[in-house]
Amino acid sequence: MLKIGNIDWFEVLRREAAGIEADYAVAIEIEKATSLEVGRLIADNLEAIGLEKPNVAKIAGQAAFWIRKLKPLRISASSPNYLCTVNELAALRIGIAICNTYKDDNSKCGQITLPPRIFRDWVNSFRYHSHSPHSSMISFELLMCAE
Amino acid sequence: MPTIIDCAQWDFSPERLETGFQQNSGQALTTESILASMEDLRARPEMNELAELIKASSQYAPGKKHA
Repeated sequence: MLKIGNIDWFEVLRREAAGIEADYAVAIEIEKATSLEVGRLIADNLEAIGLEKPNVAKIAGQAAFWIRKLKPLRISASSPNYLCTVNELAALRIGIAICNTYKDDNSKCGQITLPPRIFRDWVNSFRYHSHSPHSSMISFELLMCAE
Repeated sequence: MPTIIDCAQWDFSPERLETGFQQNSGQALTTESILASMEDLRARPEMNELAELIKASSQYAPGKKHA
Protein backbone atom coordinates (compact mmCIF):
# COMPACT_ATOMS: atom_id res chain seq x y z
CA MET A 1 0.00 0.00 0.00
CA LEU A 2 1.28 3.43 -1.00
CA LYS A 3 2.53 5.63 1.85
CA ILE A 4 3.41 9.16 0.74
CA GLY A 5 1.58 11.09 3.45
CA ASN A 6 -1.69 12.98 3.50
CA ILE A 7 -1.25 15.80 1.00
CA ASP A 8 -3.89 18.39 0.12
CA TRP A 9 -2.93 18.97 -3.52
CA PHE A 10 -5.58 21.66 -3.98
CA GLU A 11 -4.02 23.68 -1.17
CA VAL A 12 -0.54 23.12 -2.64
CA LEU A 13 -1.73 24.37 -6.03
CA ARG A 14 -3.69 27.26 -4.52
CA ARG A 15 -0.63 28.50 -2.62
CA GLU A 16 1.63 27.99 -5.63
CA ALA A 17 -0.79 30.01 -7.76
CA ALA A 18 -0.71 32.79 -5.15
CA GLY A 19 3.09 32.78 -5.28
CA ILE A 20 3.13 33.02 -9.07
CA GLU A 21 0.55 35.81 -8.95
CA ALA A 22 2.88 37.80 -6.71
CA ASP A 23 6.10 36.97 -8.56
CA TYR A 24 4.79 37.43 -12.12
CA ALA A 25 2.07 40.10 -11.71
CA VAL A 26 -0.69 37.90 -13.12
CA ALA A 27 -4.15 36.89 -11.90
CA ILE A 28 -4.78 33.14 -11.83
CA GLU A 29 -7.91 31.00 -11.71
CA ILE A 30 -7.70 27.48 -10.33
CA GLU A 31 -10.04 24.58 -11.10
CA LYS A 32 -10.64 22.67 -7.88
CA ALA A 33 -11.96 19.53 -9.61
CA THR A 34 -8.85 19.33 -11.79
CA SER A 35 -6.64 19.86 -8.75
CA LEU A 36 -8.29 16.92 -7.02
CA GLU A 37 -7.85 14.86 -10.18
CA VAL A 38 -4.14 15.72 -10.16
CA GLY A 39 -3.86 14.33 -6.64
CA ARG A 40 -5.70 11.16 -7.55
CA LEU A 41 -3.53 10.50 -10.59
CA ILE A 42 -0.32 11.08 -8.63
CA ALA A 43 -1.42 8.48 -6.08
CA ASP A 44 -2.73 6.03 -8.69
CA ASN A 45 0.46 6.15 -10.74
CA LEU A 46 2.78 5.83 -7.75
CA GLU A 47 0.68 2.90 -6.55
CA ALA A 48 1.00 1.27 -9.98
CA ILE A 49 4.79 1.43 -9.80
CA GLY A 50 4.54 -0.88 -6.83
CA LEU A 51 6.82 0.95 -4.40
CA GLU A 52 5.42 1.35 -0.92
CA LYS A 53 7.46 4.40 0.04
CA PRO A 54 8.59 6.21 -3.13
CA ASN A 55 11.27 8.82 -2.61
CA VAL A 56 10.64 12.53 -3.11
CA ALA A 57 12.02 12.52 -6.66
CA LYS A 58 9.34 10.07 -7.78
CA ILE A 59 6.57 12.02 -6.06
CA ALA A 60 7.92 15.25 -7.57
CA GLY A 61 8.09 13.70 -11.04
CA GLN A 62 4.52 12.46 -10.89
CA ALA A 63 3.24 15.75 -9.45
CA ALA A 64 5.03 17.87 -12.03
CA PHE A 65 3.87 15.69 -14.91
CA TRP A 66 0.18 15.64 -13.94
CA ILE A 67 0.04 19.37 -13.20
CA ARG A 68 1.61 19.97 -16.59
CA LYS A 69 -0.75 17.51 -18.27
CA LEU A 70 -4.08 18.47 -16.68
CA LYS A 71 -3.40 22.21 -16.34
CA PRO A 72 -5.50 23.13 -13.29
CA LEU A 73 -4.40 26.79 -13.51
CA ARG A 74 -5.26 29.43 -16.05
CA ILE A 75 -4.67 33.13 -16.43
CA SER A 76 -7.79 35.08 -15.52
CA ALA A 77 -9.42 37.30 -18.12
CA SER A 78 -8.91 40.16 -15.67
CA SER A 79 -5.18 39.56 -15.35
CA PRO A 80 -3.04 42.61 -16.12
CA ASN A 81 -0.44 40.40 -17.83
CA TYR A 82 -0.37 37.01 -19.52
CA LEU A 83 1.88 34.01 -18.86
CA CYS A 84 1.33 31.07 -21.21
CA THR A 85 3.46 28.64 -19.18
CA VAL A 86 1.72 29.13 -15.85
CA ASN A 87 1.01 25.41 -15.37
CA GLU A 88 4.47 24.30 -16.46
CA LEU A 89 6.11 26.84 -14.15
CA ALA A 90 3.91 25.78 -11.24
CA ALA A 91 4.62 22.11 -11.98
CA LEU A 92 8.39 22.50 -11.81
CA ARG A 93 8.40 24.88 -8.85
CA ILE A 94 6.25 22.42 -6.90
CA GLY A 95 8.42 19.48 -8.04
CA ILE A 96 11.62 21.11 -6.82
CA ALA A 97 9.95 22.17 -3.58
CA ILE A 98 8.89 18.57 -2.97
CA CYS A 99 12.46 17.37 -3.55
CA ASN A 100 13.68 19.90 -0.99
CA THR A 101 11.30 18.85 1.78
CA TYR A 102 13.90 16.53 3.32
CA LYS A 103 17.34 15.20 2.57
CA ASP A 104 17.32 11.59 1.52
CA ASP A 105 20.16 9.37 2.72
CA ASN A 106 21.45 9.04 -0.81
CA SER A 107 21.08 12.69 -1.84
CA LYS A 108 24.35 14.31 -2.77
CA CYS A 109 23.06 17.80 -2.22
CA GLY A 110 20.88 19.34 0.44
CA GLN A 111 18.88 21.59 -1.85
CA ILE A 112 18.29 21.34 -5.56
CA THR A 113 19.57 24.38 -7.37
CA LEU A 114 19.07 25.03 -11.06
CA PRO A 115 20.63 27.84 -13.08
CA PRO A 116 17.75 30.15 -14.09
CA ARG A 117 18.36 29.66 -17.82
CA ILE A 118 18.10 25.87 -17.48
CA PHE A 119 14.99 26.24 -15.34
CA ARG A 120 13.41 28.50 -18.00
CA ASP A 121 14.28 26.02 -20.76
CA TRP A 122 12.77 23.17 -18.74
CA VAL A 123 9.56 25.20 -18.32
CA ASN A 124 9.47 25.76 -22.08
CA SER A 125 10.21 22.11 -22.81
CA PHE A 126 7.48 21.03 -20.40
CA ARG A 127 4.98 22.97 -22.54
CA TYR A 128 6.15 22.11 -26.03
CA HIS A 129 8.03 18.77 -25.93
CA SER A 130 7.20 15.17 -25.10
CA HIS A 131 7.41 14.17 -21.44
CA SER A 132 6.08 11.26 -19.44
CA PRO A 133 5.61 10.53 -15.74
CA HIS A 134 8.68 8.29 -15.83
CA SER A 135 10.89 10.76 -17.69
CA SER A 136 9.88 13.40 -15.17
CA MET A 137 10.70 11.11 -12.25
CA ILE A 138 14.11 10.35 -13.74
CA SER A 139 14.78 14.06 -14.25
CA PHE A 140 14.21 14.75 -10.56
CA GLU A 141 16.23 11.67 -9.58
CA LEU A 142 19.15 13.03 -11.59
CA LEU A 143 18.83 16.44 -9.96
CA MET A 144 18.85 14.83 -6.53
CA CYS A 145 22.02 12.93 -7.40
CA ALA A 146 23.88 15.91 -8.87
CA GLU A 147 26.79 17.44 -6.99
CA MET B 1 17.13 -18.53 -37.43
CA PRO B 2 17.50 -16.23 -34.44
CA THR B 3 19.14 -17.45 -31.28
CA ILE B 4 16.64 -17.77 -28.45
CA ILE B 5 17.84 -16.26 -25.20
CA ASP B 6 16.50 -18.05 -22.16
CA CYS B 7 14.24 -15.77 -20.08
CA ALA B 8 15.57 -17.34 -16.91
CA GLN B 9 18.71 -15.24 -17.36
CA TRP B 10 16.77 -12.04 -16.81
CA ASP B 11 15.94 -10.49 -13.50
CA PHE B 12 12.59 -8.74 -13.71
CA SER B 13 12.46 -7.70 -10.08
CA PRO B 14 11.53 -4.06 -9.34
CA GLU B 15 14.85 -3.51 -7.57
CA ARG B 16 16.51 -3.09 -10.97
CA LEU B 17 14.73 0.27 -11.27
CA GLU B 18 16.55 1.64 -8.25
CA THR B 19 20.08 0.94 -9.41
CA GLY B 20 22.12 4.11 -9.23
CA PHE B 21 19.31 6.20 -7.83
CA GLN B 22 17.94 6.87 -4.41
CA GLN B 23 16.42 4.10 -2.40
CA ASN B 24 12.67 4.17 -2.17
CA SER B 25 12.32 4.48 1.55
CA GLY B 26 10.79 7.92 1.43
CA GLN B 27 9.33 9.71 4.39
CA ALA B 28 5.67 10.67 4.55
CA LEU B 29 5.10 14.18 3.27
CA THR B 30 2.66 16.69 4.66
CA THR B 31 0.93 19.61 3.01
CA GLU B 32 2.67 21.91 5.50
CA SER B 33 6.15 20.58 4.68
CA ILE B 34 5.57 21.12 0.95
CA LEU B 35 4.18 24.63 1.52
CA ALA B 36 7.18 25.55 3.67
CA SER B 37 9.57 24.27 1.02
CA MET B 38 7.69 26.23 -1.65
CA GLU B 39 8.18 29.42 0.38
CA ASP B 40 11.89 28.67 0.81
CA LEU B 41 12.24 28.17 -2.94
CA ARG B 42 10.45 31.44 -3.72
CA ALA B 43 12.83 33.31 -1.44
CA ARG B 44 15.95 32.14 -3.26
CA PRO B 45 17.68 34.73 -5.49
CA GLU B 46 17.78 32.49 -8.55
CA MET B 47 13.98 32.47 -8.58
CA ASN B 48 14.02 36.23 -9.06
CA GLU B 49 16.45 35.75 -11.94
CA LEU B 50 14.14 33.12 -13.40
CA ALA B 51 11.18 35.50 -13.17
CA GLU B 52 13.15 38.19 -14.99
CA LEU B 53 14.14 35.74 -17.73
CA ILE B 54 10.57 34.54 -18.20
CA LYS B 55 9.17 38.07 -18.18
CA ALA B 56 11.63 38.96 -20.93
CA SER B 57 10.65 35.92 -23.02
CA SER B 58 7.79 35.23 -25.39
CA GLN B 59 6.11 33.18 -22.62
CA TYR B 60 5.12 36.44 -20.97
CA ALA B 61 2.97 39.15 -22.49
CA PRO B 62 2.89 42.33 -20.43
CA GLY B 63 -0.40 44.17 -20.61
CA LYS B 64 -1.92 41.50 -22.81
CA LYS B 65 -5.05 39.66 -21.82
CA HIS B 66 -5.94 36.31 -23.32
CA ALA B 67 -8.92 36.01 -25.63
